[in-house]
Amino acid sequence: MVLPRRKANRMQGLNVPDVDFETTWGVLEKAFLEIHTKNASALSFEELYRNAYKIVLKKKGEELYHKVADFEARWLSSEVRTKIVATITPPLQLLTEGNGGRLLSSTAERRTAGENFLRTLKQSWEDHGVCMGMLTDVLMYMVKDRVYCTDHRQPSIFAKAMGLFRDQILRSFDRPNGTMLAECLTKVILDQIQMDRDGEKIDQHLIKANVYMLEGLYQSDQEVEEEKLYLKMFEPYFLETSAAFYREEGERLLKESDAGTYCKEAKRRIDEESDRCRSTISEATTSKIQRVVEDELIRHKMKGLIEMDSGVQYMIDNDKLYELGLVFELEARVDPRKGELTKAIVKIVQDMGLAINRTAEVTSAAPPTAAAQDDAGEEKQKAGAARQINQQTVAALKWVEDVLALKERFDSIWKVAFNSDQTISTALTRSIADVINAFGRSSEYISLFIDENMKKGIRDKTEIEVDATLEQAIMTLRYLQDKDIFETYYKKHLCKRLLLKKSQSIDVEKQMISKMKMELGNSFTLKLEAMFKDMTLSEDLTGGYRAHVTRLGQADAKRVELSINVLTSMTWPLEAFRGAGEDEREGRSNLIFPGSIERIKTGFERFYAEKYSGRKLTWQTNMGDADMKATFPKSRNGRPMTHDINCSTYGMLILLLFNDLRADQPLSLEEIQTKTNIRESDLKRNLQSLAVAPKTRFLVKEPMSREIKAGDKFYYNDNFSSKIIKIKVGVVSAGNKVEGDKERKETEKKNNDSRGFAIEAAVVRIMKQRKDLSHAQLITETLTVLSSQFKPDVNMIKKRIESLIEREYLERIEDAPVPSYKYLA
Amino acid sequence: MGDKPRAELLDGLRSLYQTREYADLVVFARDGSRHPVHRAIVCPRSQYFSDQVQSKSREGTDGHITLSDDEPEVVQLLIEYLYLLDYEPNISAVAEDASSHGDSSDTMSVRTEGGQYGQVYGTSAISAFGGPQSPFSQVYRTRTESSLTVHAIPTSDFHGTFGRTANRGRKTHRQDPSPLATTAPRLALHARMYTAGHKYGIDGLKTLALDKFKIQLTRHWDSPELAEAIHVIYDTTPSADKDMREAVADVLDMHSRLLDKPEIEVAIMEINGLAYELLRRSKRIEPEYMG
Repeated sequence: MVLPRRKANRMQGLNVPDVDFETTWGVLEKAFLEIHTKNASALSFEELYRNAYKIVLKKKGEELYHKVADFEARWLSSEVRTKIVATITPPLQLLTEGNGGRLLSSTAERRTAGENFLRTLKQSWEDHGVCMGMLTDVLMYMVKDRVYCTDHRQPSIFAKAMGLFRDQILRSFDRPNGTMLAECLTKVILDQIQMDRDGEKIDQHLIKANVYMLEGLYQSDQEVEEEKLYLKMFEPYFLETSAAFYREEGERLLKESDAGTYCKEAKRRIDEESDRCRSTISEATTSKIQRVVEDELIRHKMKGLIEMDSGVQYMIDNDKLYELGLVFELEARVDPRKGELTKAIVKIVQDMGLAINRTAEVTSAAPPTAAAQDDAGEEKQKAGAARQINQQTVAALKWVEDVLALKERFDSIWKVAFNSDQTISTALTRSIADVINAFGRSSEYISLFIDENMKKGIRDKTEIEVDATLEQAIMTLRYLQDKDIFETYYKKHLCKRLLLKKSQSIDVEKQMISKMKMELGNSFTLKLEAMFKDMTLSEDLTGGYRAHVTRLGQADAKRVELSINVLTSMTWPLEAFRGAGEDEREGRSNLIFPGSIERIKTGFERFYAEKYSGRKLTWQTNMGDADMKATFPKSRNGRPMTHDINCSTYGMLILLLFNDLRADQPLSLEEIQTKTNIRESDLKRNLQSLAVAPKTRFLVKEPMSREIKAGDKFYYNDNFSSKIIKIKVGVVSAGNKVEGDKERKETEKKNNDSRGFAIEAAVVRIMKQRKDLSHAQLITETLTVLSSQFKPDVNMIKKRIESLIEREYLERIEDAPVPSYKYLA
Repeated sequence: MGDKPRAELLDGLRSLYQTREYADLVVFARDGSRHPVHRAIVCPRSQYFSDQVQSKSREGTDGHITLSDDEPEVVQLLIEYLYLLDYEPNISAVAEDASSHGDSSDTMSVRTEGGQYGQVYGTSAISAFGGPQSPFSQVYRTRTESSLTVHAIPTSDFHGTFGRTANRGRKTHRQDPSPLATTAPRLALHARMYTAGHKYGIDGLKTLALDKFKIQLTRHWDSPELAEAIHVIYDTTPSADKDMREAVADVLDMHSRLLDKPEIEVAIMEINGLAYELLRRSKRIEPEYMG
């Protein structure tokens, strides 16, 4: 029988019993209670779902929603809250109520109580989550279709339940007028974190779970991302207390420990906070807390740290490279430009540089005074003068070496500790340059440094060592601003080395020139190379003349041989050989040569005129020297001995006068002058070395005294004796390598003149090309063009422009908006 | 992907359905009939099953789910659908019953002009499986000989014309019975299948059931089962869910003599929503189709 069955079915279908809401809810409520008391396994999911479906189908969804919410609120406020509040024991009450809470209870007490509180809260939260998961599963039909929620703009039942936890638990108070639980939570977590910072063990997972809860909850049921409770109720306080903690710790560390420890500690703290975010709090806070720690431990303390007694100065003094590296690393975290450190380093370099400069000044100035005090005796004083020369060289060598050592030292610090940082490199270069340029004699000293090395320093060095020395010189040169002044000195020193054959190796000299060429450019070395060319040509000339003389067949044994250097005027700084205050014309007074000398002189002039017509030779007798053979009767223990004497051309002339006299026949100063026509000052100096200096006293002076005065008489020294065959006669102050103040002023003046020309040339070149240009632009361009030679004074440029306008190279453009000039062709 | 790999998958499902090998969950109907199923097949298709299996409730622990609210046949067909993407109600069981009432539905000769029906019925058949892009739609067509295959082939301007055609069809002339309508309408069953689809969150089943319901109506609108179906629809689906309600209203609107039937009268009187829907339709003017 089919029909009855169908009918029965139909009847059932037609009479779906009206859902009695209260009854159905009663079933559900009972089930929810089971769920909350963890007896879910006895429940039938299908039954609950069916009941919920029916309720929603009968449009009782809203009632169901509110019933569920009420149920949850009740459950949370009675069961759960009570449990949590019970864990707020006295140690926690003290902690959460007053600021001194941490002091009133022991750490152990607070930790146990805190963990208990956190654990209970965590457990409640997790239970709540699990229960709500099950509830929403059962209520899925309501949740999923949002039949209820979307219609009424209410949060989903899950979101609602989360909100209830926030309202019923976190926003409730531990007792009337007490502390809000969320606040308790924050304070307990902060307290635990403080314990962690103090090095005590805490349960990180426990805190993490609670933070996780705060991250899952929002200020309102709208669940706006920026309104997470974590961001609102925890993070700001965490950052605030951390800032206070690190501010204090930073100050304490600065006071109590040394800079190295401070750095290590700061680094450790920063890492520790990152780790804490990962393990204990939330990674979202990592960058914020780093910023806080960096602010408090680095940004605000960097200056104090650097200036500590054990700060950067100390580290550099004691080669604490690792600590320096730490300082660098710290500041690099907060400032890509490393401002404070750079400033400190620059200052230290400049201070050290200043000390080097001062030492050099003291060294160069000290000896004369010391000598004057020690002994007024003539010989001592003369030795003192020689020492002074030497002392200047020593000062120069020391200065250059010190500067190089300074640079080297900071280079290695830079490389090891500062990670080859670009900004610091720039600052270092600038400060080294400042040190070098702040020293008035830097150009001269660098040239002297090279001079000394060319003459002596490189004697026993290998090629590589020589190259390194040259490289060092170039290095200092690189920093030097006034390259034109250096050029002047270098030319002067090179000139002497070449003419007096003091150079150890012409190859090395040339190597130096080519290095300079690479570093400073072609124009810089042009004149220096010309000097080398003159030397080569002169060698050829000397040889050619000798051959010429030989061809003439004058095979005279007593013939005087001539070795000559023909120097292009303007290329050679011949004034270097003149003493202070000598006039050029006066220096070239016509000497009276004895016949044999005069003959070869005119002989060479003829020879040269044949080779190069139209050139004028000017004899620089003040620069010449002569080798003579002289025999003194009692030289070797009373027996005669022939010596090879090397003396200046002047000295030769003076000594030759006595060849024709008897031993007891004197010549007065005036007579000598008349016979030779040597300028008085030169004559006096030469006579001093021939008649006063003990080792080369070929003449006897009357009266015997140090000074050469008018009316003094000179005799041939019959009793001269020396064990040395080759005797070199030094001339007092002739070879003074370091300038006196007067000389220096003159050099400076000359230098200023040549700079003037250089500026004018640059200005004209620029204007010729640009036709018209504003004043400011012209100054800038001029500075750029000249930077490879020197750094001109702006006032000097202005004066030169004025002068060019006067001379009608330029004119001012009238009614130009900015001052401008025009080039007049 | 060609048809073959797809057919392979579907054949695999069919084989699983037939043998029930590897079954790891049992679904019971309220009459105690037992359906071993596969969690891997059932759960991804229905959040309801998935939640239940994972919950800490009795069902989650035992792996036994009893669907006590549904007719045993609905439970069986629901599972059939989950495996075969279709369900075939047992017609022979009620054929006698249907014939005893006499086939009073429209006896006009069945028209075989497939294209015309295709426009009306093909839509839902396709949308039931996620539209023409769905990987299953094609396979479905090749596999089923009997039902929607012919009609599922969309005509070229299919989407553009559908709405209008359907509307006009409803208003201007009577609907022709579908050739797919079976001898026994099983209207109530389809309504229950629809509800199951809704309740357990299986949208494909909803669409399929709606489709089958409409096809049967074209021929069996006069069936005494209609009243039962109406009650099922209005009692077990939420009012916001309109599709089935509209299908019912459409048929009552079109065949006004149905209103004379006592069981229909009872239904309309009992169900406020239906009365309102019919009133609304009778007053509605659609001037745009009048000319």
